[in-house]
Amino acid sequence: MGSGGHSITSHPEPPAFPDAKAFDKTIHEPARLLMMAHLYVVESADFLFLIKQTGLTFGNLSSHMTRLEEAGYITVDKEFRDKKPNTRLSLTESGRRAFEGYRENMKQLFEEL
Amino acid sequence: MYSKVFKYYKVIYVAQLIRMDEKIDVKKIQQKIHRDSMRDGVTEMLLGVLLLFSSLMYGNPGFTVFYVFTMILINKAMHCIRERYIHPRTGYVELKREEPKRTVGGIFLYFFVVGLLMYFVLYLAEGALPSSDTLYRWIPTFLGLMFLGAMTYLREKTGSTRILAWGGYAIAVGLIFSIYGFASPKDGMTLYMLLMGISFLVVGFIKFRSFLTTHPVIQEIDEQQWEAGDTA
Repeated sequence: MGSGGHSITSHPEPPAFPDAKAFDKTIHEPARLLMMAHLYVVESADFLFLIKQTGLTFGNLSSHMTRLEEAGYITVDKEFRDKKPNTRLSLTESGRRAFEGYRENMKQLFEEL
Repeated sequence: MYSKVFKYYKVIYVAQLIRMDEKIDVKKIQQKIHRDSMRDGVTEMLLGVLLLFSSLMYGNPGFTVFYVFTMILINKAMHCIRERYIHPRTGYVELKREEPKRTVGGIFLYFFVVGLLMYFVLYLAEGALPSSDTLYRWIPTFLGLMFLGAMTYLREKTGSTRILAWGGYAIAVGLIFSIYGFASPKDGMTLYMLLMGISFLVVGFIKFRSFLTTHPVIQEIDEQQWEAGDTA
């Protein structure tokens, strides 16, 4: 080292980011999270209700609904009521457990932070 | 420099997580859903009708038959009104049902405790067991306390404090009618239910009209319409 020079200090190891892998990526998306949260507190709800409550557009809701249905988190029943299409959604048991697990992970994460 | 950049991204990451966490406040979501389900005024209108028939029944026992019919048909009427006017505007939701035993048990417990307390207070006031005239005279106050209990329960469910105004109004009117000396003790009870019935009916109707104006009918479109750009 040179005279009067600065000593080389090593950068401290940065703290690890909270483990984002713990989050279910199907749920960890704002629109889908909103849908899951609304379906969690009711027995079932139709498309129009979810559009009104979440503020999502028809196309947005439809694409996220497909994703959640593929993951097995919701059931989708399509029928006609008074000759008009009606789509009813409800959370499955695995969807309910997945959502509760997600909430638990969030809670633990905030406790760690 | 490295740690500053790290901190910056961590702050953004945490902020995003906080926003996500706010979306899953299930209690607030549930309260909002309950609050929205009561915006249409239908419950108030039908409660008003029920109270009006109750007052008529007490005033004239010949109305008992209509009262029984009303009790039987009121659920059906509510269902029909909601199907015809409300669901096309708000969509349909099936709310979670509370355990009936818990709800009914809670109602009876409250009814019993309030009744017992009132009886005890009247006993202390009169220095003797209250007469039937005294008990009839104070029924409006008792009913007011029942309304207050119901509104407190709804306040918890909906998160709306404005609903407690109904409880305050019911208690105030109940006290006034109990203190005022009517010719017959039953008159107070009859007029109380008549006034509360009219109040609920009027407010419910105003809310219903406002709801129809501010909530246009919306229609679900199928995928073919969406792809064709037909969003009407």
